[in-house]
Amino acid sequence: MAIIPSPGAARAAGVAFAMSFTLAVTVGLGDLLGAFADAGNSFPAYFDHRPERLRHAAGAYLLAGSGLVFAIFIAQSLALDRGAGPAGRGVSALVASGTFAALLGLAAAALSTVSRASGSERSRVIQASRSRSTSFPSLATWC
Amino acid sequence: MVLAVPAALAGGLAVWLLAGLSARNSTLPRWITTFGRVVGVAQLFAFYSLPMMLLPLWTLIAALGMRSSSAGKGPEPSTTAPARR
Repeated sequence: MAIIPSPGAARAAGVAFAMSFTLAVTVGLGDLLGAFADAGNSFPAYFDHRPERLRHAAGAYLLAGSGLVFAIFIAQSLALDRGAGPAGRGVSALVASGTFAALLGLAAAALSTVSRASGSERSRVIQASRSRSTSFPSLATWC
Repeated sequence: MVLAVPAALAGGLAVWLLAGLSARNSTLPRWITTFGRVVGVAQLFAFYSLPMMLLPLWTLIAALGMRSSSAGKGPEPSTTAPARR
């Protein structure tokens, strides 16, 4: 697929990457990036709030999208620089930007999993305690 | 962190290569290409998480600097009329 070189498209992609990546890392997922030292039992209470989970989901989308926009920026810039140097360097830059986009997508999935899984775990515990009290008697009753 | 460091290395490599190619073609100003190489090398220390924030900064500067350099690369318009005989 041929890329039509356009300075405007490269400029728009670069600005979009800078904005989306910065927003995702600071506003969207910043608290998750700094949460490695927190105790495990602090996560379910924190992620039980719906706005927090929505913010993390939006941050994950932004982070994954920023990687794709970065790859577009590199491809457009290389199309503008066509013939400037060895073709191998251009291909290497494309592969590196694609790897960057793929790893950012994986990082977004991993970070949003913390939020989603913690909230689901708390909901599962609450639901299990409710069903235990209303349906079948517990194992202690049988024994 | 496990995924961010390899991502920063890949992004730094892409920036370093793009800065080198842009320096040959003069698509970007010289100081931006030099800054791009510094940003690319700085990603080797991405486990401090601060160098990774240089990636969007360089991309923003390069995107905005590309406009001025490409605008000045067009053919110069002739301002003088051909002389009549």
